[in-house]
Amino acid sequence: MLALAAQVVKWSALGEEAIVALIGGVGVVSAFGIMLVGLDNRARARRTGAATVTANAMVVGGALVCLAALVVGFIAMTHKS
Amino acid sequence: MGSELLLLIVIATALAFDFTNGFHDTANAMATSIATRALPPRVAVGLSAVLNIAGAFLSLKVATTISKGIVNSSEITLAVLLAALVGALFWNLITWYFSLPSSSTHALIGGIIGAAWVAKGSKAVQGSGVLGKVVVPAVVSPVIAGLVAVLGTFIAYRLVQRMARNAARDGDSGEERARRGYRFGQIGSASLVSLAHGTNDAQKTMGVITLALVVHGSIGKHAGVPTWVIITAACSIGAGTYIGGWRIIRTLGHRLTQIESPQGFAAESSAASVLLASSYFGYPLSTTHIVSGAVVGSGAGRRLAEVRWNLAGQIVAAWVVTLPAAALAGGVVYEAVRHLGAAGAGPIVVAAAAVIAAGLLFALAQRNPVTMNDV
Repeated sequence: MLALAAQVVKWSALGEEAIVALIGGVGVVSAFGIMLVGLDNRARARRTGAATVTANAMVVGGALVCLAALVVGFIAMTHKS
Repeated sequence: MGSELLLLIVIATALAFDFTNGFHDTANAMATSIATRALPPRVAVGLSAVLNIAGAFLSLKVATTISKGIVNSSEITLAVLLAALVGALFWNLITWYFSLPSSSTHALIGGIIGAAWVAKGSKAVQGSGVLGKVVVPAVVSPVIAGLVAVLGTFIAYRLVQRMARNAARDGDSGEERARRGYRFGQIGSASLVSLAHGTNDAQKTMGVITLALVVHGSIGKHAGVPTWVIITAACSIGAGTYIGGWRIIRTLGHRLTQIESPQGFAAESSAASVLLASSYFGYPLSTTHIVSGAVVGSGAGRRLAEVRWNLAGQIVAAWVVTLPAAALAGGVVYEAVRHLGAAGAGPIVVAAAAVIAAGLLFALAQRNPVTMNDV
């Protein structure tokens, strides 16, 4: 069974898929979380009058990564192998 | 009986299967969002229904490949398709009754394998295709989704803790703000899973109906999917989704593990990534397996979250049994059709029996109903 599986399964495609899924899934969760932390830091900085540059960068960076992931996901949906 | 009536029965059964596919799989996209109250239940299933319908129009790639590489296409007849669909329908309803999230795709493939095997013998089934395209991905996909979700959940909670620490210094509660943010994120990630589900599952029914039309001779072998097939399949899965499979939503959203919004977001994002990566690389994975694996992973990734491993074991057992059970049902139904006459009363009797059996199961389910108030 295992020998047959080794012949018929496209292991390289499966490995590629696992890596892409890992990068995509963990990347989106991290980016969204960074965006939330950035939003929180920005609100706090505005209250205290501190600089908001880093917080803004976190918000914009996180949002852009999430948006890019959505676009890539949409492309994957419409360009199936 | 003319072959036209048999074709009509096959198409009606395919649409009925599509409808059950919809309510069986609503949980995949929306169970976690409903569980964390990111969306009210009725809004969640409505949104999922609309996105499933939209997804059905996005790509027709899957529609042409449902039985490719699994059974020899020359062995497929209308009677085989009818038996396969009834077998898959039967398994979908049984697992729904027992509140178990099982794969509608595997049920359909199992039905096709069983019916083709009984019709033409073992030569009709391509064993290597079943192993490479169904069995191995079924084992691997929930594991990948689970691992991605474990890591995603761990990271999400680290960031929640960071916000809580920062907020504590200022004497307010940042944790609740973080949870509110993740609830918002859940709407996006669950919507993506719904859309991806529409691009995959609605098209399987389109594939079966198109295959039936080809076998019947109504359209040419290389003809595309007719527009009316796309519209009816999309509406059917959308209607099924809107009905809401509350029994399975309760299992995935509440019974398997207690889900908070950071977990829900991590689970759905992980599931969407695996699902979309598999679509892109051409691996036919089951949405149900992926989402269930991701939900278990999100439970395991949060400290103190309890995963009910007994229930997880029952779900895995249902996955293992799905292919052979649907194959057995498909085989039995094919034999009944053949015995009663494929060109005679067989299809009518089988279709009537399927409607009665489905009605009985629904009536039985009403003794212990699960509604949107229970999820």
